[in-house]
Order: sequence, then structure tokens, then C-alpha cells
Amino acid sequence: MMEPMADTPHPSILVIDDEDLIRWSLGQLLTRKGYAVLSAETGAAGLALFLEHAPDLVLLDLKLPDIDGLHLLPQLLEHRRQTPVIIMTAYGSPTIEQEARSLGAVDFLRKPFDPVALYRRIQATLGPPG
Amino acid sequence: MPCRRPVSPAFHLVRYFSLTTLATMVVGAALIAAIVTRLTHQELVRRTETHAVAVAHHLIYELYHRFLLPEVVAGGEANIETMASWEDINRLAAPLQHFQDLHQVKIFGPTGTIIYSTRRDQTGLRDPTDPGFLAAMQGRIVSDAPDEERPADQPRGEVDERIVTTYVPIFAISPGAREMPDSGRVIGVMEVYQDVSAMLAEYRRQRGIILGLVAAAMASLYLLLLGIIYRADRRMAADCREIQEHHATILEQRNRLDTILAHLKEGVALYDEERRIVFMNQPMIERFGDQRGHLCHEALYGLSRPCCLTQDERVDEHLCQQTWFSMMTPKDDYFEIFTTPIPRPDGAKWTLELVRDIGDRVAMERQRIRIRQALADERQRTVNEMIVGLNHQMNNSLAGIITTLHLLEDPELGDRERREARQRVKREVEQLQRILTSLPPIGEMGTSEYLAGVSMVEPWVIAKGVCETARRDRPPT
Repeated sequence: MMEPMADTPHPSILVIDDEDLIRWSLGQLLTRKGYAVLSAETGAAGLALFLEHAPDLVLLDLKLPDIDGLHLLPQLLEHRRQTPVIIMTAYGSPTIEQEARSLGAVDFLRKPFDPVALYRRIQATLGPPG
Repeated sequence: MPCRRPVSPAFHLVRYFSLTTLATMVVGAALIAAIVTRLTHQELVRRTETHAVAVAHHLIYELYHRFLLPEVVAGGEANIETMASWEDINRLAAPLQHFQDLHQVKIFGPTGTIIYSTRRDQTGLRDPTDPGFLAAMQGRIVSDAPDEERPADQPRGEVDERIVTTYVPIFAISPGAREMPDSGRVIGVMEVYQDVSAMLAEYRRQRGIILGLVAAAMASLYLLLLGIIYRADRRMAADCREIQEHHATILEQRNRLDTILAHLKEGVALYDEERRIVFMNQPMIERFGDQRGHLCHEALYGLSRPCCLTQDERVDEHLCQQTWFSMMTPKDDYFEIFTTPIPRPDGAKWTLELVRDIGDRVAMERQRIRIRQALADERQRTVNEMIVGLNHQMNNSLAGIITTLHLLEDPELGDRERREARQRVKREVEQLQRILTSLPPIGEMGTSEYLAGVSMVEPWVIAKGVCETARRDRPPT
């Protein structure tokens, strides 16, 4: 499901997560912080949004209904290698984190995460929203 | 297993018995005849001699009283050679000869001269070398019995006369003697001839009867024994035939047993009392080689001692009496062994052993244990994945709830967004409650068996399904 939240010059963030509440709450939170938020429930929808809107940051869940996040990650970076991708997952094993980082993820967050910490990491990655 | 009964040449019991018994009986009969003959001869001599002595003493008594005592009383010396004339003596001897049925009577002087003979022509003759005379002169009574058989010079059909001659010493009269002279000094010899033909004939008749009875008894005994032996021989022959038939039956059954054993897939071996192998069937030979004659525990299983012997060579009765046991050899071979005692006719006890190589079965059991362990591991993995899936789902929900609660803390949040945020959090919490209350029992997870062809469902999907179910069941907002 593609949910474009805005189409503005503000830094854009694509949230790919199958959990509806996460998508909604992150969308509300990050929008209020000044980011343009796109969200997708599946990997295919997320890849489509990524190709269409070229977001500045991707928040990617590893466990998606149609594809594993670790498989989707190379596909995203294959098109835009400079786009930072932060992994969010409930599987917080060091092995998966190491693999994700080796595939190009800039950060790795374990669910449930602190929204403030997430915001700080986004800020650290994108800089403050315009 | 070749087993041949030793064959000995036939023993002709009846033939041997009849010949040996016949020979024994002939010899026995001859011996008995000889003994009876000797006894008869001795009895004949004894009776004849007794009679002759009695007659001689009577005649000597008469001669003393008539001719010698008067001279002795007159102070002279008793001289038998001059005591009387032939006629005087003959008057005493002739009646005695007649009434006592004597064949002849002679009286010898101390020098061997015949001073009187019932045959007058012999009077005056002298024969001092006659053994009977010489013996009598020494004080002994001797008799000369005739041969029992017919003399060679006696023609057949002639009267068979047999004469017994008895020599009786005539003792000198001692001073004061009132009865028979017994001074110890022999002054002459009386020779009495008796015809024993009739007595001999009677003895022969009685001897013939006795020998006939003995012969009849021995013949009867012989025939009886022969009958018994003949019957025993027939019985033994029948027994022998029966034994041979049984032996043939046993041989046939043994051949059948050999055939059966040869076609058995399991190995079969037969041990003697020393546990040496005396038989191995073909599968056994193919498995272990031909080890006949070797100790079974060494040749088959590579053991230094039988299974039922302990380290200190003591017999473990419990092990020895076991008829089934399994064993692992030093070469890591596995066998299942069934034993059966085989009593032998000679009292020995052999052992029939059925050997099954259970190496494949042991390998399969080991494989089964590995599979069971793998299955247990897989079930544990299923539980783990289920827990991980639940953890994932709960962390996802918590992540959304926490983010939404953080959003609610924003004082600039609009009423409509605030209301929606609260409703979303409430629904998520209710969903979590449903998930937790509708969890399947963790202890039973992964324990159900799947049929062949049914693929496993990813546990994470199960957890996801639980969540989706909970989500569908939530009340409408």
C-alpha cells in the first residue's frame, strides 16, 4: 500500500513496514518534525515508491509479507546507492545487524525503539529538516 | 554333518553257540563218563576187596586154629610152609571157595612159594617178584583190579570174566594172642581171586543208565539253550533291523536338517562340550569361513574365553543358562544369538547356536536415535521460532504503541489526531491481549506428527496468523 504523505521540498522519508500502527505513528511523528513521509506495507510497494519518489531516507522493516528486508535492501541501493537506509526490526540479532550493515544499511534499530532516538538518528543522517 | 555308525561284521550267534556248546557238552560228557567209570572201578575194588579180606581172615582164622596154634601151644614155632598138606588145607578152602563164590585161593609162604592153591598144579611154584605179594609182605592189603574193557586176546562172544585179585597178609601169632594174629610180622600172604563179571556188568548197566540220563539231560539242556539262543538271535536280528531302520530314518532326518540348515539365512553352528565347532551351515561358513574344529568364541567372535566365563575364569551360571543374548565383538560386529542344548546319546551335551548378524539393525537403531534427536531438535526449533515470531509481533506492536504514545505527548496534536491515536493504541493493546490469550500451548507445539507430503508451515506465519485472527476478531471501531 502506497501512502504518499507529502510532495514537498522537505527531506522525504520512506517507511516500509507491514505494521499499520508503526506506519501511521511514524508518519504522524515525522511529518510533524518537518519531513515528508511516504509509507508502504509491502516490499513491492516500497520499491515502487522508492523508484518513483527517490526518498532521502528509507526506514525498512526486515520482516515483510512478500520479501525479506535484507533482500529488498540491495534492490533499493542498486538504484540509488547514496540513499541511506535504516533498518528497523524486531529480530535484533548481531548477525542480522552485521549482515544488514554489510549490505549497505547505515543504521540498525531494534523494535520497540525509542521514537526520540529514532528521530535523532534520522537527524544525524539527513540533518535537520528545512 | 557326516556321521557314520561303525559297521562290524555280523556275529553268527547261533552257529557259534551251537558249536561251542556242543563241543563243551561232548567234552563234559566224556569227562563225566570218565569220572563215573573211575568211581565205579573204585567201588568195585572196594567192595571186592572188603569181601576178599573178610573171606581171607576167616580162612586164616581157621588155618591158625587147626594147624598153627597147636604147634605154638606145644612150644613150637608157627611155620606156615609146613603147617599142613594140600588136602588138609583144601578141606577148609574148598567149601569157602564154593560158598563164597571165589574163583581161586592161593597161600604164599614168606619166600614167595605157593604152599596152597585151589588149582593144585600151581602148588609149589614160586614167584617172589609179584608186586601184590611184595606189598602184602609189607603188611598192606592190595587188590589188582582188571581192566574194564574186554582183553584183546579174549574172543568176542566168550563169557566175559573179570577177576579181582586181593593180597591179604598173614601175620604171625604173638604170645597170648587169642583172636586174629596181629603180631606185625608177616609170615605169609593169601591171594584171593574173585570173579566180578556179574558185578561189573551191573555196574556197567548202572553207569550206562547214569551216562544216558546225563547225556539226555545235557542234550535237553543243549536244545533248551539252543532254543533260547535262537530266539534271542531272532530278537536281536529284529532289534538290529529296527535300529537300522531308525538309523536310516535318523540319517534321512539329519540330511533334511542339513538341507534346512544350509538354506537358512541365519547362521547355525553346533558346538561340542569343549565348545569346538563341529558343524557350520553354509551362511555361517560364508560369514566366518570354515572354522570347524576351532573354539567357537575365538573363531567366530574373537573372544579369548566363552561368554559365560568371567575374567577370573569362573563360570557365570546366569550367562551360561541364557538361551538368547546379543553381543558386540571386539571388531564392532553385532550378533544376536540363540542357543539350544543338544543332549547326545553318549551323555555329552552339545550346543546348537543360531547366529544372526544384527549389524544392520543396530545401524538402523542408531539412525533412529539420531532421527529422534533431530526430530526433537526440530520441534524445539519450531517452538523457538514460534516464540521468536511472537516476540517479533509483540515488538512490532509495542513499537507502534510507543511511537503513538510519544505522539500523544505532543501538546500541539489536534483533537482528531489525538482521538485517532488513542483508538489505534487501544486496538493494538486489545490485539496484543488477544494474541496472548489465544496462544497455542507451547508445550504441545511441534509434537504433532506430519504425514508424508505435508509441508511444514513456517512458525512465523503461524504467529502472524494468530495476530491476523485477533485483528479480525476485534470489535469495530
